[in-house]
Amino acid sequence: MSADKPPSPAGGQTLRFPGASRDAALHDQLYRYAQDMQELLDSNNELEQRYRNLRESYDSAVEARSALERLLHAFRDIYLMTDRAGTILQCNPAAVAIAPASQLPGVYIGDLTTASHQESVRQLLERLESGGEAPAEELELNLKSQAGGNPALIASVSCIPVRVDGDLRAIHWIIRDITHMREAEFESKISSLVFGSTSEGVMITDCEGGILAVNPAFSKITGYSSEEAVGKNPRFLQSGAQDRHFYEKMWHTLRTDGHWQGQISNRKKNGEIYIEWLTLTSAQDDEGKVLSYIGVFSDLSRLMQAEKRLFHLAHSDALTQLPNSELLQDRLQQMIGLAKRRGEAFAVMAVDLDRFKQINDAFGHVAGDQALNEIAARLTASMRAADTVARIGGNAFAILVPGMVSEHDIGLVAGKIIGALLQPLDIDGREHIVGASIGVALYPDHGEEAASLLGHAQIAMREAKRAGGNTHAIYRAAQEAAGDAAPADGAARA
Amino acid sequence: MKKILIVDDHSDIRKLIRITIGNSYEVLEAEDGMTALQIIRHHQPALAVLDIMMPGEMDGLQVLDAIRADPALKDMQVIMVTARGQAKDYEAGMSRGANAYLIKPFSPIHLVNSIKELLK
Repeated sequence: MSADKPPSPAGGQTLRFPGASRDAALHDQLYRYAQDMQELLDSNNELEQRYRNLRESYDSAVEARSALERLLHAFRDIYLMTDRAGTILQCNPAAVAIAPASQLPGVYIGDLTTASHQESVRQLLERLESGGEAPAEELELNLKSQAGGNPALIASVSCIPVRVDGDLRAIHWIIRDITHMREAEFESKISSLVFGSTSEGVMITDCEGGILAVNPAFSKITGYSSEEAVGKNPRFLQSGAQDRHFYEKMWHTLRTDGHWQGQISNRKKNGEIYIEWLTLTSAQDDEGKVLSYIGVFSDLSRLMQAEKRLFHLAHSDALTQLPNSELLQDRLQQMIGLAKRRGEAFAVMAVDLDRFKQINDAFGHVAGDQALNEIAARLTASMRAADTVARIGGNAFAILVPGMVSEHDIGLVAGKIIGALLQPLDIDGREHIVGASIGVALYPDHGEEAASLLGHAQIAMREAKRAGGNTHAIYRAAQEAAGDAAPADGAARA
Repeated sequence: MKKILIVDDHSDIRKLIRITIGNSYEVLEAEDGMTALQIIRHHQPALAVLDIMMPGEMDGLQVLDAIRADPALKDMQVIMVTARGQAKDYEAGMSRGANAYLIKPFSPIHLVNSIKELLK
């Protein structure tokens, strides 16, 4: 080949073999072109393959990006993207909870929070800017809502910084409205505080009635600890005071109305029976299926004791604890009603003490009060449980004696009373004897009304006093005139 | 488009080079040294592909000398082209101011890359 030939001057070469040399050079150059073309084709194939690979990666990246955008679009959490300074660049539709989407871009994110949280946002941006190690940050912010003046919402915020070569470029913000959650937590906290601290017993059962939880007041009232009660059916508290019918009615009301209220007797762990005011409520789901029953009860025993005490205070004589004149009137009315229905009879006895004034005069009121207490006790001891002994005046008593009508019986009872009172009283170490004058009126013979019966008994009592005391007299219609003519009280004549 | 002058007495070789780079540059041609120098002075191309062995009064090296002797052409790039194995030509060309050197048959890829590199 010409290229292998030794070098020769350009002029000479051309002159000696002009055609052959030029053809050979062209041939060589063309082969060289073909070789390069082969190289280019190879490299082209490789580039095409690379292009296809890139294209595939690109397509899947585009796909992923579009999927991500669709996801963010459908996301119920608020998504915001800000620049490194916190200025909003884009947002998703859920952001409407803060402000209309068109108003958000360009807004500084700190301006969305309530005044008290703006400093937190500033510090967060500072941390992200200074390149904190954390890949994401979580915080809770109160956001002002600019949409329709809704109240501020409590948001749980995740911040994801986007860094390129360690430089903060943008920040993704995922903001979840946790207002309802916080409110529910608050409510649940309040509920459990109430559950734990109320003085009313509370038990919560499942829909089968098995106890799920009881509160401390439950344990205090019933004596059963939470461990003992949970898992049991509340039946274990039953005292037996209510019959099957009662419970059937209770359950019927609870099932139809969703609640029941009433008074019920239960038994404590120590066996004591107590009365409670119980409110049962069923908790139901949206479809009306019972999820659980809630029983709230208060122990009425103390209340009833207090009521009894109040009744006693209002209706008894403070000194002797005997029924007072008011209660006597009540009892007398009841007794008249009962006797009328049953066609029965009873006696009203008026008892007036003889020589009592002397005790007060000689020993003073304290001694007199002691003596009255003793006399009250003796009177009560002389009578049957069914009889009513009341103190109706300073030294005046009245006794209702059901079923006693014969003069013989009256004489026996009056004698017993007088005998008891004639026993000497020990007053400051000195003996003193009082006596009693007793008047008796009978229902219905001497009156059918409380006032006339009492009045007639007192007329008879004065008759006994006139007779010298320590005796009894039964009312006679004729006495009335004498009584009216001499209305002076027994004490004055004693 | 930058101008490139191809200097070769072989018209087919010039044609090959024109096809190779014609899309990217404005191509001028000369078949001998004297013509080349005239075109260079007139058009001031950015680069010349200069064959050393040429008939006539000036060979490639002489054209190179003339280019380097002219201050108006100090920025002009020159690629020398010669037949295979002419080591002394290479040395002569490079020492007299050529910017690159190709051996025939040259690789068109190499040529294109060299031009690109020199005109960067």
